Amino acid sequence: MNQIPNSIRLAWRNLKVNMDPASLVVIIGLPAMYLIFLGSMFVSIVSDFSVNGVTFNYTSYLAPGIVAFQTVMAGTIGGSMLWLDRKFGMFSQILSGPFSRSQYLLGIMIATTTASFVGAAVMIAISIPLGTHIFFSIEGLGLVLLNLVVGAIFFCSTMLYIAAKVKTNQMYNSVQIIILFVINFVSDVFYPITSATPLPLRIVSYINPLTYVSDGIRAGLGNPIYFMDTWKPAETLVLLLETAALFALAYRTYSRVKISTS
Amino acid sequence: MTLQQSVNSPKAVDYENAISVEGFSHTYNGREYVVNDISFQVKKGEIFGMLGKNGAGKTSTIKVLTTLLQPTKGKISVLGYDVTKRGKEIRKRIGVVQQEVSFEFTTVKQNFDLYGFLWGVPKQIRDKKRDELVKIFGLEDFLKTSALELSGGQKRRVQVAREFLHPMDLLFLDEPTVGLDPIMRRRILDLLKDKAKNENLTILFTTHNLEEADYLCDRIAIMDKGRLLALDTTENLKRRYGETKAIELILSPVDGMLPSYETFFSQLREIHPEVEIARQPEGDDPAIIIAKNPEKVIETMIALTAVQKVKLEWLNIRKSTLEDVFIQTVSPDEGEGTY
Repeated sequence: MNQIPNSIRLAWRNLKVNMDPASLVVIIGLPAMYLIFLGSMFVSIVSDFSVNGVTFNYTSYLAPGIVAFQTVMAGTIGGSMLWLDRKFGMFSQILSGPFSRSQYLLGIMIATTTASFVGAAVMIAISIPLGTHIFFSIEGLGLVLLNLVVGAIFFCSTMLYIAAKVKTNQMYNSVQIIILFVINFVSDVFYPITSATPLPLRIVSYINPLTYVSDGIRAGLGNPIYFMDTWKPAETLVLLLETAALFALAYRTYSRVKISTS
Repeated sequence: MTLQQSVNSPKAVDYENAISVEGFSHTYNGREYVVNDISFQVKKGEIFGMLGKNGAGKTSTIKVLTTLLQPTKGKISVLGYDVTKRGKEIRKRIGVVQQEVSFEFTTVKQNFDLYGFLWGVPKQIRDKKRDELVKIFGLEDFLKTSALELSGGQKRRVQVAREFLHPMDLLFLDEPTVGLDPIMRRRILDLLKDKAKNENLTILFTTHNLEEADYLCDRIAIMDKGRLLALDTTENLKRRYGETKAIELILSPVDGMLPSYETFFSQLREIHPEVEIARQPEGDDPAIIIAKNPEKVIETMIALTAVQKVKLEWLNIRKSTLEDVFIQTVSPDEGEGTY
């Protein structure tokens, strides 16, 4: 046990502290409800569509989007880890132990990525009985994992930035809710971005990394005949660049988080 | 196998003093120094107390010694390592009980388990240590309780107790007994004494409670406004100021007029400029005057009562305590700050 790297120890501790039943209901339950309720409701309204001889229903479109949405939910856990540690004094307590700031941050990132993997697996498991067509392939799985990791890092960085900046609980919750709302609903998680989408929303959607994460996951999990054609590697490149930029910003802000002098 | 042997503990460099501080100053804003050119050493196995009002610079000093802050100026080594270069090596070998209460929002049992896990203490050992510590700290009935539901004092007990899960050579405690009842305070002080004596643990301890410092510490540093005003053994400090006596007094009116302590003390100091007004009366607590020649001062006071039409309702002379030393040493309160 003593040989376990510090960042893994911290990640395990983060998961143990944050994975209480109430948190799991929000982290897993909320996306699961989106998947079940929206999937059940809209599948009867939105017509099935056929591409290259393969017929898709709405849940086949929605499910990969909800898997991508897990990266957002995982990111919120990451931000909460820092925020709660600051609030309950554990941030400075941990840093007065044998851990560096970088290890603390890495511990959060590992825990966040793990949460996004677990959440994604649960969403895939729920989506299958709902009639979702999931196509597994080695390449597809690689693309899914890549997008889950990069997405989790992006959204974790976003939430860490907020957690490092704000000073009150109310502010943290308010900012988080607003950001979550915009990220989720101005993306192609629930509906495709088409020429019919109002231009301002289309622009925001194409800036929104969740759009790229969900495109990548659709390409990885969906039928390659259709989705691989619509997904472009450039999307992942944009996602990587956006993630690198936000991670750098979050790291800079996090590095300046003062240790309480009370 | 002892706990110390069972947990990977890096071998420290040889060092004579557990803490060595030379010309240390610290500022947060580049203008005002919260710690100003202090120097001291703490020997291995010593219990070293830091006394001072809020804002004296004690917590900032601890933050620097525990490598959470970089010093603005000065040369500081802890366990033989330079705090500016070898922070991680230092933090592997120290325990820190910070002034702010810290806890995981899990059960008390998980708080112990997670903290021990973070420090790499094997499960068997951390379970054994936890069972010992919960008994000492009276936490047996709270193991399944969420730390969020504990009172402030109970949270503090968890925070102090868990620090003893992992091995260390040096323990920093920043006002660890705040919010604890007298029995628990004494139990913690006895545990600290035992650790210093039997395990050669070096302890740096800050407190506002002077009786605690008197009971626990081998040497005491008194800080005020970032400066080190006095540093010696408790006995020497009391001896140094022991030539003085503390006169406690309460005045009462003769003709119904409220007595003016201000006028009374002002006239007293005209005759005896050497006396210190250590404390003004507060509620039922008497005023305290520190004097080297109490008999003469009392004679003058009796004479003044006739002039000012007041009477001495209560008068007591006693030896100076550490509290008197502290009050004499530090400046009057000018509002509280936290540094």
